Amino acid sequence: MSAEAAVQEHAHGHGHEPDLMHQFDTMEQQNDAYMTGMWTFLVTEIMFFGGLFCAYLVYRYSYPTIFFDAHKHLSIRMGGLNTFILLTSSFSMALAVRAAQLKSRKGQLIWLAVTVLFAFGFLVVKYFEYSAKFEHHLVPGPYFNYEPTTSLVNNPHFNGIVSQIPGAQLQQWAQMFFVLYFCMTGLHGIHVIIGIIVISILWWMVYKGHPATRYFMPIEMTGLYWHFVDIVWIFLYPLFYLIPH
Amino acid sequence: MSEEHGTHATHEHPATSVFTFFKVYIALLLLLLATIWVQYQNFGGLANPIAMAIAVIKMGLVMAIFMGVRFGSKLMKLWAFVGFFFLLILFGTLIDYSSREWMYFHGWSQ
Repeated sequence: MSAEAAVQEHAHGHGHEPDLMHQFDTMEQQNDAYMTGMWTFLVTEIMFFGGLFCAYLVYRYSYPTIFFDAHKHLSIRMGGLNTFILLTSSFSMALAVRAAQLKSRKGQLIWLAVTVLFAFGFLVVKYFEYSAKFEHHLVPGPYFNYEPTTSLVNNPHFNGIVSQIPGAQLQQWAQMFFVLYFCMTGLHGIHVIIGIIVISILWWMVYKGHPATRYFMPIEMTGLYWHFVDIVWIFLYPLFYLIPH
Repeated sequence: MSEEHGTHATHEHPATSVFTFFKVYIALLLLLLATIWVQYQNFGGLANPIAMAIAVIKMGLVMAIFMGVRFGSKLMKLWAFVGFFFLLILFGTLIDYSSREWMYFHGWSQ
């Protein structure tokens, strides 16, 4: 028996609630089970990124000056553009979930497609940012070669200090900034790619009228994941691109 | 905010209105501009706490409205909170680093 037939037979048995699975008593209970499961996953995700945020804090407060100097190699505009892109995709994802709640197939198809388009836009901007780091020898590894910005060298407050630091140590500390940058934005980028895959599959399922998408929960779960990815970037942007003096 | 409960798709999960989502989206964009603006001002030691406070407000808006925590069950609210509780414990490990002088290059961090 197909899943659809099973759902329909179940619906006939009770006379209403076609989307209620047999292991649940009420729709409220079923929704709570979905929600609790997804939020538990998000809690593990928070801890996953949390470890990296901890590492970031330790090194930023250990080497604040070199972190300030190294952050100038990141473009505030590019990062800001990506923040705008992710916020917009979050907005369209919220509208896609709304369309699913209202059982609007057309709305779901439109807003899910917009979300995926913006997600690709994010990756395109990230591609240009990453490739610039490769060109400037700012990718951690054997070819890493950091040159302090002139403002750091000319700063009377730090000039004496910079000249005291052995070159190798300055390289190591600057490399630490870029190790964290690539680990954290890279892990976030992987999440964006996974999001694109999941949302694309969901789009296809809605397009084909798959029975699972008759119920709004699968798209709601995907929405929660996508908003989480957005929230991580909301913190990554000021921490890497906007380090104050 | 009665318009938010205008359309009931299921028993307990009212669909939030498009206008509410739009207002939150505009607020998020304004906060993005605010956080960039703060970067170019001379707030000294306050700049970082302000930037983080703005990020927390943005996160709050996304969680409350986009993720629907505000209209969710008590269980969902508890779960949304649990993540940050554990995060707090994780950040507690920073006490160890802050109590070790050898981590720092003397004279570097002033």
